[in-house]
Amino acid sequence: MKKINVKNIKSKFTFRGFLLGLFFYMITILFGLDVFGYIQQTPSVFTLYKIFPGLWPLSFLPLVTAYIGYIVSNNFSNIIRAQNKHLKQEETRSLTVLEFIDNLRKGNFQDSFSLSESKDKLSESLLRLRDYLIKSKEEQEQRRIEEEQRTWVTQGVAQFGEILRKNDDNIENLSYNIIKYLVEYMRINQAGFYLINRTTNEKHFELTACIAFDRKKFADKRIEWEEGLIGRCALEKETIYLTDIPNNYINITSGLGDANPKSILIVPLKTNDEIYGVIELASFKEFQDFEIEFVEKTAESIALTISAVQNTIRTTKLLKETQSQAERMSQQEEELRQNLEEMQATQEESDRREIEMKGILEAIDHAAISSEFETDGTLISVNENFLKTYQYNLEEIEGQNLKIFFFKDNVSELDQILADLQNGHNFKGRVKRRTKMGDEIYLLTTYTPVIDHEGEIIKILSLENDITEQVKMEETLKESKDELGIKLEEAKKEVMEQFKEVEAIKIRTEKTLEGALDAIITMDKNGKIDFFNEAAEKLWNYQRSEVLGKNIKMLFSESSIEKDDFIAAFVDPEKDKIIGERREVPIKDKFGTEVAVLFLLSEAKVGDDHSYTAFIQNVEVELF
Amino acid sequence: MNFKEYLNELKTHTPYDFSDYSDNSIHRRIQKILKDQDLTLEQLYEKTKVDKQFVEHLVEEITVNTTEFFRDPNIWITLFKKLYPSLKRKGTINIWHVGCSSGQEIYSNLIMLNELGLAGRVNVLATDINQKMVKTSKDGSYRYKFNIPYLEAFNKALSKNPIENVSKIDWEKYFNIDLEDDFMEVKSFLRDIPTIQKHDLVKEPVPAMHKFDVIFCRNVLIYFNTTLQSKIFQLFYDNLNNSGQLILGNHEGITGFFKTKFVKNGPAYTKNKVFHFKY
Ligand SMILES: C[S@@+](CC[C@H](N)C(=O)[O-])C[C@H]1O[C@@H](n2cnc3c(N)ncnc32)[C@H](O)[C@@H]1O
Repeated sequence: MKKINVKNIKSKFTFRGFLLGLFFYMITILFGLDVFGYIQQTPSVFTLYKIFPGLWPLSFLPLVTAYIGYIVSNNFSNIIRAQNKHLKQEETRSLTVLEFIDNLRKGNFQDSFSLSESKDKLSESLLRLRDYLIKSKEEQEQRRIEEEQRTWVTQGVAQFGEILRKNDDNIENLSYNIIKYLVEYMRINQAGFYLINRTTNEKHFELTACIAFDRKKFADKRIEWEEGLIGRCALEKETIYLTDIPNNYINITSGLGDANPKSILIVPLKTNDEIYGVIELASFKEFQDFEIEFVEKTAESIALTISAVQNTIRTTKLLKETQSQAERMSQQEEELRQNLEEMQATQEESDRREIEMKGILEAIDHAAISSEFETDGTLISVNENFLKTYQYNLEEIEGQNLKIFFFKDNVSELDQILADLQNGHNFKGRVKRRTKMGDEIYLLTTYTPVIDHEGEIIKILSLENDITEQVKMEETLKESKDELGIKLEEAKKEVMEQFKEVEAIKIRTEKTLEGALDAIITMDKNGKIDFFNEAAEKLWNYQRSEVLGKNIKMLFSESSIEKDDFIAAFVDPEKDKIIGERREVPIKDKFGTEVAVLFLLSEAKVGDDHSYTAFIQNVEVELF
Repeated sequence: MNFKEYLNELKTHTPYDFSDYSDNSIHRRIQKILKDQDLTLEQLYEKTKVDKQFVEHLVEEITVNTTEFFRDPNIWITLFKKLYPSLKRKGTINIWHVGCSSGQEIYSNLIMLNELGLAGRVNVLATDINQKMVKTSKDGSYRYKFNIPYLEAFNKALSKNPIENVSKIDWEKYFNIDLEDDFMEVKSFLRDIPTIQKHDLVKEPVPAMHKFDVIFCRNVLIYFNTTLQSKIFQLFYDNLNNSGQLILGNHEGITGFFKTKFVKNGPAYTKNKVFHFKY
């Protein structure tokens, strides 16, 4: 804007007023000049003045108008000046406003206080605008922060959901992944996951996963129910947030040194008012509300997931159990069926044996006198034959002892027999027994102990045959035998006499034989050497005493016994000897030398008694 | 086709011969298999002919493997009281468990032998026709709840009737016990003693070069007919040392001709040293 020159305007207007006054003065003069037409006078101004005296004041008209012009212009210039001043003011104000707005636009609210001095409406509203803007910016900032936190939370929850979804029904892995995520996402320092274990009678916590905890401290991993902050948190089902941490509450390790954390957050894992466990987080900074909220939010999903996982685990376990139970059942069923088959087969085998036994027993029953008795001799049972033989009625001997069938003199025998039986020995023999009538009967008896599987004797089985007849016959036979015996004795004596005679003859002959040149040996039918003369001694180089009573075989070599049929027959008691035939055979002397000799064998028979006499000549001798 | 014909076919096409098993029993077993597998005898026959694996399975199905620890406790007690003392003088005691099933019999015997300080001197062979049972025997791993009552029953019998001062056996000494999983396992020092192998008593030669002092063949012969039983008695007779012992099941016994070759001695049959007839 151009600055208007006020002085110029004043002079202009003064000048223009003068000119206007002058103009009117001139016009008046000019019109006054017309007068000269009427009056003869020399036109001059002076004359005019004289005609029109009024011209005198008029000649001041230019001055007046100039003055008026000046006044007016002065007024104008005053107005303009005022205007200008105003304009100037306006200009600076707009500049300030612009600057203010610019600042507002730039978000610079603090530097614009210059405006507050003026109290015009615009400023006021501008200030209001500013305040509004400030407020809205603050709100926006707040909203942004809130928005950010919300995203953080939702993002966290989403990622967290991913972890929960991806769990593989392994609580340990799951809990580790959970706290690992929490530690990383929340940028905190340590975390522990405590699960409530209800499987045992005593409810307690189990540290299923931890990050950055001092390992030594949690070696046992077990925390009792109602123990410490963990227990309190679970009991009250409320989050516990602590910023005033007792010293040594937890030591954070993992490279951070043994420092105490600044804050601790303990959150119950609950859903539907049911507690599944507790997570404990510790940090070197304080937890923000939204962070706590986040943890609480996740805690519920954790609780839900854990309840689901535990459910799955329980169901799988149940399923497995049912399966293995079903398996076991079918196995048991098979076992039962096998048991049944075994029982049936056993039964059939027993039946088979029983039938066989029965057959045998029946046969025995028919043929033999049978009875059974206890180890002390008390009768258990008897068969028909028994009753017949002993001439008793069944009633009479029921429960009786074996003793009643013994004669008084023989009762001691029974004790001996029973004692032997008790030691498991059988008894077998011919016995004398007493019938009811007191008659003697003779029996061929076997007592057999019946032994059970444990080796205990349960009873004794008696099988007997009546041999009374036989015994009687034998006795008569014996009697006649006795008679015969006497006769025999007499005969024997006679024979003895004869024997003596024979013996004498024998000695005589032996003497002669002794002196014979031929070697002579006699042997009995069994091959025992009875006689060995001097010539034989020479031939064999044996002393008589060395050979008498010995077996004939010693006089021959093994090979010749084998090869030579004559010797073979000679030395073998079973074989028929070659009698009356002279044979050349090899003999073996004491030193093992074989010598060929001529053998002639003769036989002597006395009753059943055979004896053989051999006459031997040395072949070599004959040659000379 | 009837089951007898089937058994004959089985005999010609496979290494197994069940034709001399006790008629009633084998018939029931085959019926059971037919029913379980929903087969006719003909179909069974077809499968038997071509499928070796199936035959093994069939054998497992046919055999009855019922067994217990210390089955018939009192018999075991008598056995150890009367039988083993005579074996104490021997350097090595050769034992054969025929039809050992899942092995409880083997370990019952070994446990008691160990209690008597004889476990180091035994040479134990155990055989069964059933592959699966052989494996179970080798593993020595059993269900706890099912088996412990039998062990306890034996302890009870022992307490009434101690064997050489042994009146109670501490089972933990011999088993690793896992109550939670309901199983018990024979400790390896015991498990390492026996040689356990698959063997068919009917068809295969005795899998040993030596003779035996004790042969356990309990509850196996009940499944055989008399002919086969006699054949097996001959086999046992031939493979026992003089005065060797044959231990049969509670309801089994030697009948017929072989009765004279053995002397019954409580639960055991002792091989007769001299062979003679008794009338
Ligand atoms: C009932 S169990 C007896 C188990 C045990 N000895 C006991 O008494 O407790 C019979 C066993 O004999 C076996 N077995 C059947 N036939 C056989 C054969 N031919 N050769 C070997 N073992 C056989 C079966 O596999 C079964 O395990």
